[in-house]
Amino acid sequence: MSIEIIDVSKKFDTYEALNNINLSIQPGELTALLGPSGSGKTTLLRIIAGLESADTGGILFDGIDITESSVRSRGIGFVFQHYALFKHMNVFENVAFGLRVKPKKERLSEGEIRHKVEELLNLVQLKFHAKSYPHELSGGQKQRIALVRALAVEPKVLLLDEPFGALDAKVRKELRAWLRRLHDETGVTSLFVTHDQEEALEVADKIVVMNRAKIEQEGTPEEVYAHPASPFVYSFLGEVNLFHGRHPSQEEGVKTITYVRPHDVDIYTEFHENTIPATIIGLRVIGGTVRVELQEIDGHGVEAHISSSRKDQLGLSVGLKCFLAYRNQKHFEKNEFYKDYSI
Amino acid sequence: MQTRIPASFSVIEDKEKTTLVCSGSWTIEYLHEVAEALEGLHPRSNVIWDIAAISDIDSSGVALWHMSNEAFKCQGYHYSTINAREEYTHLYRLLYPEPLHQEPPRTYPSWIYIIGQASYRIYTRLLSFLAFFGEAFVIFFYTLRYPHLIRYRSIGAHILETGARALPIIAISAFLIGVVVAYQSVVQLQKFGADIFIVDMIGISLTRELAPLITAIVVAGRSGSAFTAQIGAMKMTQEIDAMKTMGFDPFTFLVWPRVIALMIVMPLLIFFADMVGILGGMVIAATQSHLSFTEFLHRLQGALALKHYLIGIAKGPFFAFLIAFVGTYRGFQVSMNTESIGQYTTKSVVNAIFLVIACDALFSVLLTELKL
Repeated sequence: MSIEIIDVSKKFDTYEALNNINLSIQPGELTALLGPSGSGKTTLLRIIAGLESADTGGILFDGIDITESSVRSRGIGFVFQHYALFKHMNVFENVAFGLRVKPKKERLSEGEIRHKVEELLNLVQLKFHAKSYPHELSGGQKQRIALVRALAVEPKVLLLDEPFGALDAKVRKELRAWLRRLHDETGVTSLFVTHDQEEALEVADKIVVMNRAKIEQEGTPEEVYAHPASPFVYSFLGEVNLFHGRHPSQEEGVKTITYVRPHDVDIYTEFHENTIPATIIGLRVIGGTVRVELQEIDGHGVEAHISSSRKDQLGLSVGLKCFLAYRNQKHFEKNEFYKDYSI
Repeated sequence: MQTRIPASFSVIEDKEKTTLVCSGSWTIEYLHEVAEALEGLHPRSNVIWDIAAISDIDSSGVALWHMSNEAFKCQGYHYSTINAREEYTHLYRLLYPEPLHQEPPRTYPSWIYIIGQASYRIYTRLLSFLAFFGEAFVIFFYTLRYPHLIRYRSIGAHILETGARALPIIAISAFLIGVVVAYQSVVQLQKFGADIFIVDMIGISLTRELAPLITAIVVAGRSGSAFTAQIGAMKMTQEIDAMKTMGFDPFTFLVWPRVIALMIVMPLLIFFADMVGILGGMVIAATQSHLSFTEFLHRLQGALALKHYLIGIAKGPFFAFLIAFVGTYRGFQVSMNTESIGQYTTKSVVNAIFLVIACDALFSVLLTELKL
């Protein structure tokens, strides 16, 4: 099912959560709403679900206006950050719940419900926990139950609100891959909210970057990463080094800011063409990568990420003088940077 | 070597204040751009300078601030500075003896503003309660049309929880109230040698007023608060949102089972409190006034008209309705922080007890006027 969001705005008292949002989501897509906290992404998700109402604008599902429809008639599945499993019901009952409350005409027989729930529990490899209660499960297990509970009612749209936000890093990684596979199997149009750019880049077909109640950019992960539309998107999608006024063809009066990702900084021990002398002031080895803190000759700090084999090859150590070259520099005009709150 | 970056600032505006976050070197060589920018700046609220990030400043930089501050003052805004290092403050004082921090004079809103604001607050709260009430009744009539939606099992569970489990505490409270009333009356009545009227005193006051009231207060403290806490916790863990997305109506699932269960249970609890309370009175009458149990019961049959007992019992469903409704309503108001559960639980109990007493007073007046 396609989702169309048209001119949606929302204010909480004086706080602006969404400012004129327009977005369309294609059927079967897995879309990530990415942004810092307070950017309005969860509010947007809740408005699509019908848990919150928009001040202005509308939502279309498959071209049909459902702005005024109730939550239940929208046919959505919603997964919450803190699982929201029903505490007093066991896993089986939790998953079966949505099936049991359907109107009599649509309701499956008890046997069919049992069959379906077991099938779903198989899908998430939690069949043997059917009789357990939520408090007996780990976070990852709970979230998987929450997911199949949402899928049990065969939603036309699956909405996930920071689904992996409360889990530890390792489980998160596993579940991410699992969500991707699950989506490929079921093909339900899905929309998930996250503040983790890695998660969005890894899982989603399409990324919508939000900031300050607005959409900054939308596109495929490659597009958004390689061609960020604004300095915000650039700095939100990864670590950056930032330089003032270093545009090669700098015109008079135009202030620029240049961004370089730390992994686009090359370190040489000998002078090359177009390199800048610098001193190493810190080295931190994190697994296979090394974070090198450097100071350019004019005092400007730079961070570079290189592989540890490269570090050994160059024989880097603190205090060493070396030369830097920057690849893939991205220039933004300075006033663009302060666009939202400019002088 | 410390490099000098030209002075710059960014403006962050929100509802109450305009924050100017300054950075770079605010010295004479680097100032001309910000000077122009500051001239063109027209804040729409009080100004705060955040100067944590500046690397350097000289007297021309301070002068620029001072000039800008004067301009803000002319436009009717206050200014203050945060994150200033001591030497900067010192420099400012040296040049301009007036304080760097100009505290805005405390303004007290006028009484008319206070009244207006309070009325508006009450008005919006009333509206939200009415909305809750209205929605609940729409759902109620809907479930009457489709009785299979009624959650009998849930009602049963709440009857057990709010009724049967409340018996011990109600027994103790009612017994003690019986004892207190009997003690107080014995002392007074003995002065007139009218000991036997203690039976009338205990019988009527307990069944008609005290037992219903005490039961309601205990139930408000015990079950009303529990309703708020249960629903509040479900709201916080987003279980209620989850229910809604799965096609459940929180009113049929959470509100009405509790309200109906309590309305069934309350008259029974009042009856129980009547019995135990009279027993308490009887024990005191026997020990203090040598009125035997048989004499007491015999007298009670004559003294206690059925209407008193019935009026007491009939109050039950009304009190129950108020307690359960306030309890569930407050539960739904709980917001996403942990403090609010405690806050609303307290509010729920206070509101429920107040409403019960107000309702009881209303009953007293009405029934007396009706000569009952």
